[in-house]
Amino acid sequence: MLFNSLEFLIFLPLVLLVYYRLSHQNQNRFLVVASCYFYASWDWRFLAPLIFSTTIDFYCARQMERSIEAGGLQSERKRYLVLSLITNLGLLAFFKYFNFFVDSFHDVLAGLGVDVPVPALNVILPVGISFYTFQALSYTIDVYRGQVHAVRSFWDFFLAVLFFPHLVAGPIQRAANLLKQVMTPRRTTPEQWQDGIHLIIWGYFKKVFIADGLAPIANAIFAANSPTGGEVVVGVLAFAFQIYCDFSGYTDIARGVAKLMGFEFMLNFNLPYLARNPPDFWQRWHISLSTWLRDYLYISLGGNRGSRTQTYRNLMVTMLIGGLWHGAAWNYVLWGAYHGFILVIHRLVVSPLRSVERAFGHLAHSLWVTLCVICMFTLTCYGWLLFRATGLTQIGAMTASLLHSGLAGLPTNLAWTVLLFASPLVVVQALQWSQGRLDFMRQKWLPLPAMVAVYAVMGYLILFRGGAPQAFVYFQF
Amino acid sequence: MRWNARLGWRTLLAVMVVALTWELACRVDDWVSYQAPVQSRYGMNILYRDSPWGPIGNPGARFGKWRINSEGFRGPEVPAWPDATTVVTYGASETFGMYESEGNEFPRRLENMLNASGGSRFRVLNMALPGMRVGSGAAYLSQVVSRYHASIVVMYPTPAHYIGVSRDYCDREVRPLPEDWNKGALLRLPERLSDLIKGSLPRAVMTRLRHWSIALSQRGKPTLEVVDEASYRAWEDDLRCAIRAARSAGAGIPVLVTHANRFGLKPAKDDMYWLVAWRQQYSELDEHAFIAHERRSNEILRQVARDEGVLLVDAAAAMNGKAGYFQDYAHFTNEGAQAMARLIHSALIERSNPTARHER
Repeated sequence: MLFNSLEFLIFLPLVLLVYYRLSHQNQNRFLVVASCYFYASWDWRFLAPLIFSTTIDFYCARQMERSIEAGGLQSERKRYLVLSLITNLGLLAFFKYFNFFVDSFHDVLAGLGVDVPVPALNVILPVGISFYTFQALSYTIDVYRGQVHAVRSFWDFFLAVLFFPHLVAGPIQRAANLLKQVMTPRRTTPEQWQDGIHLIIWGYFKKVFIADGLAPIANAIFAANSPTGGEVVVGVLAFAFQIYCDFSGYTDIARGVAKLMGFEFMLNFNLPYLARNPPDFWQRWHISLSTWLRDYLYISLGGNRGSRTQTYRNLMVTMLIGGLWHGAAWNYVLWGAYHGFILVIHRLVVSPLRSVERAFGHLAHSLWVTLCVICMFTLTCYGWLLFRATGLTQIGAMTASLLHSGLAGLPTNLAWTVLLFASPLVVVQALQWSQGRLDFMRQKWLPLPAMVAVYAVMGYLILFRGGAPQAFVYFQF
Repeated sequence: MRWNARLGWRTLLAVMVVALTWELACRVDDWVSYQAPVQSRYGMNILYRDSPWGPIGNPGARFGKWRINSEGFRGPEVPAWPDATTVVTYGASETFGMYESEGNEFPRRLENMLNASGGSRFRVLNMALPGMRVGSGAAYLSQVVSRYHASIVVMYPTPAHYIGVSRDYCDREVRPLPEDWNKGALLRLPERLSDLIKGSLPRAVMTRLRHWSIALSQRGKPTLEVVDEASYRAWEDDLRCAIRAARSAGAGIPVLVTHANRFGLKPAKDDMYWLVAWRQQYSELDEHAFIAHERRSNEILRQVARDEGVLLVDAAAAMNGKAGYFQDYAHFTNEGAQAMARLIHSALIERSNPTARHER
């Protein structure tokens, strides 16, 4: 059941209608059932690995909590943590990466002239497995670290993992944040209603009008045989805005829906294309994943506590795994490596860069910032080329086109279309940036009827001018 | 949140603002997309105008992607080529073109194919209009053929127009259109909302709604299980009448094309959605009878073609059951229009050079 489907538009009001009439405990149970229905609407068999891993995590966390209460040894807690890690990562590896690693192994052997038949699993990838695996892991790791108490109610834990707005594409919630909201009675405030409705409309607008409108352009250029440099530029720009509006649109809808039920989800995007440098980008793009990787992987690897070389290694490993998290394909690994590489380079040049920034002086500061934003946006866009390409050959061909022909063969009409679709986003983000607040749209900057008219125009474009419906890009992860 | 009078007024105000904004947005959208006037009425009917021969294309009119040229035909302006062979396509919405992107309706494709063959130049005049019956447009056909010295007339008539018809249209007196018939709708939002709902609802729900709508319109009237013989007689008479009209005006090569649809010999389960949609246009006939009606009408058309000695293109035999050719029950996709143009083009080439088939 996609957020941009008729089924969801019927499902959500029905859920809200029942939800508001129930007591707190019954609300939680009802949401578990509704979430299971939501998830099973793709394929009921997807529920099996989800329920299995969630049950194991609940059990492991309870055992770790008991061990802490009884003053048990850390090694005992570690056993349960390992069990949880093996279960979650094992399922993820089985469903998502088995065929990838087997195929890659086969290719390596074939390259050495050894032809060995390899088994291939004919399994379908459960929707959102990467998201709920990371979410569940954050819970057991936090309980192991003693940062969170294990919950006693199975329903509460189930709801925290299964809650339908974040189940299939995040934001990846932290156990501490979400469990607290699950366990305490909730009441939707008028502000939450207002915010929720705004986020939902803006999210749909980004997804249905902008992302789905740009998708055919990006698809056509990435499907072309030998696009010119100009075409590559337009295709990559189209994809950059498509993926941002697609994913942040989904997140906005998820956050908006959660607000209607009195939940608050963490922010996932904060004007990422206005980032000034690679670390800044990762503090603005897919924040729930980047902070997860920082807290549970980068820091566990040693973070920046060791030597410079160790820090660079940790950065590279974290970003490589971050890339692989997105999908079982080499271009995602390359994308992760690319971002790891530019993070390392940035660390190497950060001191000279600061000197240049100081040399620019206070007056020219805006010019410097603009320059940095443009450079980072260009770097990000090249990353999207690696991400969107269908294979290493295409990456090579498109990069060669860019290097050899630059903007030659620029399809002017398509470029204008990309700008036209992206313009509402650019205007809104410019306003958000200048006002210094992401929620400026819900401020009373216009009289109410004019505000309603603005939302009505968005509604018109969503309903009557949306592109052909496409699945959310991040669902595949 | 408590429901009180203030909230009620605010909600009402919001609904009114949304409706007003959407209506305005529809108009701006039409203006941006099709240069349609923002203020005036707008609808498909603005493409028609009244004439002594019945409704014909309104010169210079434009609705959505559909344009009528200054001579009253769909498509670009008629080229002034004195040496060109003129082909007239005559039919209803399938010939006019409904779902194909602009320039891809089969008459336009046929023109491109004929001109790509080399040799003499061709110009195709698409005089078809949605709803034009083969009999009721015959007088106008005669006018067009004679005015443009057309030598070829391709007729692609719609058999469904003759369901429940008691006598031919050819000899009927032409009645003028109601005065405000072609003014277009006052509001643009309702139709757009209706299209949106039709496009969004699951097919099963849509079929149920259509059944309900058919039942309402049929209340108290009997449903036909088969089309009566009088209708087939009218169909046959009108086919002969149109051929006579074309010939008497000077068209040496009338071409009759059998009517194609998306259904095979036996409808598949998915076909019910389209059969019921088709029936909604002609609610008196049971949806299961449409395929038999098409078959019988095409048999008559083939017989008429033999009797009158006109060129026959059997589109039904070549295209029926190929769902990819049809956007709905009988209107073409771009691919379908291309296939139809190819069939007619091949038949014309073969007629001018009987050995062409073997050479190909």
